[in-house]
Amino acid sequence: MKNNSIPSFVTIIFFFLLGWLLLIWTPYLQFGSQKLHEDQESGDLVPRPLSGLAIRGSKIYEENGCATCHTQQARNSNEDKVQGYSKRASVARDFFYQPATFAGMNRFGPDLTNVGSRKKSAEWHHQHLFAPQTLSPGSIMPSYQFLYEKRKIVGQHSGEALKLPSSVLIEEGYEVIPSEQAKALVAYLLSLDQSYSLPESPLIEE
Amino acid sequence: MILSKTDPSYEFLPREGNIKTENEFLTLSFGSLSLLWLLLSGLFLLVESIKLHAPEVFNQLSWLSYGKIHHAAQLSFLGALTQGLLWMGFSFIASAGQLLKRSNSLFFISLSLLNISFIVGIIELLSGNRGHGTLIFPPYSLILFSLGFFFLVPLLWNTLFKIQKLSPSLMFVALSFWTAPFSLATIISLSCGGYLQGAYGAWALAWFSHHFISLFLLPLGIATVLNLAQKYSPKLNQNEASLRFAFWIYTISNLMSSRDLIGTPLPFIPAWLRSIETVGSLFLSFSVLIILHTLFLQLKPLLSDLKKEISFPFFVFATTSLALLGVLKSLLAFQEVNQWVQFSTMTNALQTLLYFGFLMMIFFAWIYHQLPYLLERVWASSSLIQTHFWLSALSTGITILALFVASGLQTYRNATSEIPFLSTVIVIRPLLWIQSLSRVFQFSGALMISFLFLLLLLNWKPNPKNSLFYNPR
Repeated sequence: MKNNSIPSFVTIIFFFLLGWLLLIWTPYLQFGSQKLHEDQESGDLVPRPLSGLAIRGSKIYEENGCATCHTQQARNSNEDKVQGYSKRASVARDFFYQPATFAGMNRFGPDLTNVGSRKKSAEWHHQHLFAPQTLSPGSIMPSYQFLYEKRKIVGQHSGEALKLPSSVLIEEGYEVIPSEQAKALVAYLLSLDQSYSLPESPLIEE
Repeated sequence: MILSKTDPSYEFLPREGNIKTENEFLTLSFGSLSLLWLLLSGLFLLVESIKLHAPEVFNQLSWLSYGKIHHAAQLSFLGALTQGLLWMGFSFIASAGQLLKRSNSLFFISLSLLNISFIVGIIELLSGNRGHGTLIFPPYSLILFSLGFFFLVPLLWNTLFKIQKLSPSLMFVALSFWTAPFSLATIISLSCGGYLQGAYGAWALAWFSHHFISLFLLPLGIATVLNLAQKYSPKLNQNEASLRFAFWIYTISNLMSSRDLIGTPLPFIPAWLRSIETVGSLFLSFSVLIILHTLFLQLKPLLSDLKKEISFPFFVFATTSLALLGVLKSLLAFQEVNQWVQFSTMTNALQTLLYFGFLMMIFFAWIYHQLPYLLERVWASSSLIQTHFWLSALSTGITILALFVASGLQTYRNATSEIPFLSTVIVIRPLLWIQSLSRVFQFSGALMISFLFLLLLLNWKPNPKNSLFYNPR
C-alpha cells in the first residue's frame, strides 16, 4: 500500500505557504504602502487622525460589541445611496488611523461610517445612548445607561447633565451625567466621518 | 445487514481492546465536555435572544449588554462544536488503528487548556476585554486555545504520518490538524506584533475566520459525513477517486482564497483580492457539491434500509444543509448578487445553516450511530432520539426560513427611498422572535441528548421488548 500521508502533508503545506504569501504578505505590503492624501479644498491631510479620547472611545465601542449590529463600510450600492450612508464607497485608506476596523456583518442598526457628519451633536448621541427609543421609536438598540451616572443635584444643574424628555423618568432632584466612558464613546462616534474625497473614491455630487 | 465486521472494504473497523479504551477515554473527556458546553451555550443563546427583543431588560448591568452576551453565546457554542469535532477527528484516527492517548498528561493539559480558554474567553467578553474587531476569540482566550492545540500537534502529526494510506475521510481530518497550527500561529503573531490595525487588520481577521471555519471546523464535519456514509455503505471506497479529486479542489481553493461559506466580502479591499475570493468561493462550492453527489449516488440504493437507521434523519438534514450552503455560496460568490443581501439577516441564515444545520446535525448523527458500537452499550430510548431530531430540525428549519424572509424584506425595503430604515427593523422584528422560539427548542434538544448520553455512560439498558432502536450491524 502506497503511503500518501507525507506527500499529502507536503502538498498541503506548500499551498498553505503560497496562500499565505498571496493573502497575508502581499496585502500587508499593499496596505502598508498607503499614504495620507492632501485635500484640495482645505489643504488638510485626510483621513484625519483620531483624538486620544476618540481612540479610547473606539475601545468602548469594541468592548460593548457595537459592531454586532452596526457596520462601518459604505458601498456604491443602491441601498447605501438611498439610506444616505455616504457620498462615496469606503476604501482601505479611510481606515488609516483606525486602531481596529469594525467592518461588521449585520445592519440591525444603520451603518456608522459617516455618523459623525450625519449627527453632529454630542447631546444627540448621549440621549440616544441613554434612551434610544426617545429618538428612534421602535428601535431595538439597547440602552447604555450603565455608561451614565445618576447624581443628586446639589445647588445648580451640572453643565454636563443630559437634557432628557419628560418620558424618561428620572427621580426628582437627580440628574444624569455622562461618565468618562460615555464621553469617549461619543467622541469616537463624532470622529466617524468620511465626507472627504480620495482619488480612488471621489465624492459623488448629487 | 448494512455492514459486516468481516467486510474487508471497511477500513475503520474498531479493533477491540486498546481502541475501545481509547474511545471510552475520548468520550468521557471531549464528548462529555462538548455536551456540557452545548448546554451552557443554549442558556447563553436564550439570554441573547431575550436581550434582542427586550433591550431594556437588565440594562443596568454592563456585563449583560446585547453585544457582550451575543459574543459570549457564540464562543460557548464554539466550545461545544470544537470539542465535539475534535472528538470525532480523534476517534477516526483511533479507529484507523492508531493510538492517540500515548501520553495521558499531554491530553490532560491540552483538554484543560482548551476548556480554560473558553471560560477565560467568556469572562473576557462579559468584562469588556473584547480584543480585535470581529475576532470571536478575545486575546487571552486565543492564546490559551492555541496553546491547548499546540500541545497536541506533535502527537497528532506523528499519528497521522503513521497511517499508511489516508482514506478521504482521514484526509479531511489531516487537513484540519495540519493547517490549524499555522493559521493560529499567524494570527497570534500579527496580533502580538500590532499589525491588526486599519483595513489590513479587518482583512487579516477575515482570513483567519476563513481558515478557522473552512480549514478547521468544516473539514472535520465533512470527514464525519464520509465516515458515516462509509459505515452506512462500505461500497463508498469504489468512489474514492472522485472524493480525492473533490478533496484537492476543496483544499487548494480554500488555501488560496479567503472567504468561508458564511463570510461576506469586505467592499473596501482591493479588486484583485475580491476576484480571488470569488473564484475560491466557486471552487469551494463545487467541491462540496461533488462530495455530496458522490454520496447520494452511493446511498440511493440503500435508502429503504437506511430509513430504519436512527441516525439517518440527522445525516440527511446535515448533508441537505451543506448542499444548500454550497448552492447559495456559489450564487453569493458574485459581487453583484452579494451586494443585494450583504449585511442583511442572510448572514445569520447562512451561519445557522452551517453551525446548526450542518455541523451540529452531523455531530448528533455520529453520536447516535457510533457511540453504541464504540462503547458497546445501548441508547436508552429511540423515541427520545426521534424527538431530539424533530426539535433540532424544526428549530433550525424555522430559523433559516424566518431569516431568509427577513433578509428579503431588508433587501427590498432598505433599497426603497420612501421607506425609513427604522420601519424595516420594526417589520422584521416578529421574524426575529421566531429565532428566539427556536432557541427554546434547541435548548430542549441539548437537554435530551445530554440526558441520553448520561444514561449511556451509566449503562442503563432498556427493556429490549420496548426498545425501537435499530442496529444496522
